[in-house]
Amino acid sequence: MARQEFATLVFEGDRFKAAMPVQALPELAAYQELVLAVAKGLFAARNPQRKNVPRGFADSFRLVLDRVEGGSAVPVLLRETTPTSEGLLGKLGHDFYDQARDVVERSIRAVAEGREIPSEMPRDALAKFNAFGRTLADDEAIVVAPPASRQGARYTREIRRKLVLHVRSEFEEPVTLVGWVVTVGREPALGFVLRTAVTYQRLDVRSSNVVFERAVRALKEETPVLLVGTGLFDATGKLTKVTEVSDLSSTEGDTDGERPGCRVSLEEQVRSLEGLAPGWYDADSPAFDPAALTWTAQLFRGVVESFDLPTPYVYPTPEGEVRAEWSGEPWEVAVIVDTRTRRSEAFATEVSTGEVHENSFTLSEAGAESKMGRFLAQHFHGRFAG
Amino acid sequence: MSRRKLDLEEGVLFRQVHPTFMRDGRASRQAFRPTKKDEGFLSVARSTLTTAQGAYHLHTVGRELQSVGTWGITVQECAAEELSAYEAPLECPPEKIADPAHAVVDFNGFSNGQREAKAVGLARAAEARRRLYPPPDDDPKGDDIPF
Repeated sequence: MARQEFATLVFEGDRFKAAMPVQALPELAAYQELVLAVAKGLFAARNPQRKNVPRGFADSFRLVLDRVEGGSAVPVLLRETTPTSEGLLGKLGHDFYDQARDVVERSIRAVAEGREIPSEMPRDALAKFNAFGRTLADDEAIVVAPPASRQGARYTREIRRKLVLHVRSEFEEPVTLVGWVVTVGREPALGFVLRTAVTYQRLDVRSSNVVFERAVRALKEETPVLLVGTGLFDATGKLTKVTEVSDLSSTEGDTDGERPGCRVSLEEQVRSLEGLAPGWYDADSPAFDPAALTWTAQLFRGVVESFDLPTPYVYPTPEGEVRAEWSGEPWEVAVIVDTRTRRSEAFATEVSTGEVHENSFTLSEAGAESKMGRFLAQHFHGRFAG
Repeated sequence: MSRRKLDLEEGVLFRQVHPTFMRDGRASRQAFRPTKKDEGFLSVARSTLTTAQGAYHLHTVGRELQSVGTWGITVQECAAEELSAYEAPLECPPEKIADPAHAVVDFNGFSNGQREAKAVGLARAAEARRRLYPPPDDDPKGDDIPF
């Protein structure tokens, strides 16, 4: 059995600075599947008279992880060949796998540079980009580089989306959602409907037996849930359904009475803002819309329970926004929600150094509330590793 | 307008806190940063020229504004946040009431996030000093005025 370097994937982002997280390992298998699909397409284009690839074509392409180099997480992939696969390659007279690797890299680079996808890229294979890069966050990338190099095409979520949408009208992405289970059903398939906490969107969720039982319990107990899984998005980026759930957790029997933080319940604090008349702080301070405050209370409730935060201290701002603040060590966190624009700004201040991290969220977008909750919780619970 | 910068020996600067910025005895961090209309200047009063009680009464009776009490930060604590304080006496007219002790802490030149972080630092310093007027012992849990 022989092995030779095939490709180097450089994972960029904070998550990959120290080591290769196991959550990202499926990317390696997805990359192999992508290259294989492209190789099949290249074979078909070169052999239009053939209906299928030769027997053993797929088995002849096998990648193994040689090592993960440091500096960033850099898995080095080796291609393994056997006498059988070498025999097949000899018959084919052309190395479709090496060509496929290069076509993948060129296609990524073309999209990144705003050019057309190379004509040699088989259109059917573009759908395979759906599985590759699925675990990437917005600020992460995979540099797809040739053997013995770290210079290559930079692959991001945005490039993945563009490649997939060339051949499909929808694409899948990981989602983390906060919401309530509103119905459950066993027919036609096991699943439930989740109403998201902020956008009130009703989403069909396909589930396994274990997840289904948790959904039934959350429905019965009327507790909010945190769903982690895979969502299906249309070409406009709208989440249309949840196709897979990897975790569904609920906060059973949680109440403000047992929760640290402000001793006044969250709902009572938010509701109290209804009593503020126009001009309550200065001449321009607006009154608060009761419906918007109900929405705000639900948003904070979902975030607090899903991310195990103390009850925040809630205040109005003179500009008509709602602030929630949490005192903690080493980080103090706060979020300011504008109910009119449905946007929020979150701040985390490291108390001893004054270092500040900030992020803004468009709460009308699916999953934004959980991104906001994660930002707050990572800092508040001291799990931020920046 | 040229304003004299207050030196580090100036001592405590008094800050009034709006009732809606108190919850369960905790002051919002926004009480220690300028609002969007304040043009980057946080209003305070100098302890070398007035008292915590005097500053409270001038604010609530003289200016007829709401306050749940007087908190204090020092020029040194401002400096630790890279903020400078300046004297800014108010005259009548044009102001409704004169305030020779009025001063400002200058947040200009800092981003919104940096202002937020500096407000956290100042609020924590003020919390450690506790409310200066009315004295907290008079009203240990009564800081939170319902509205």
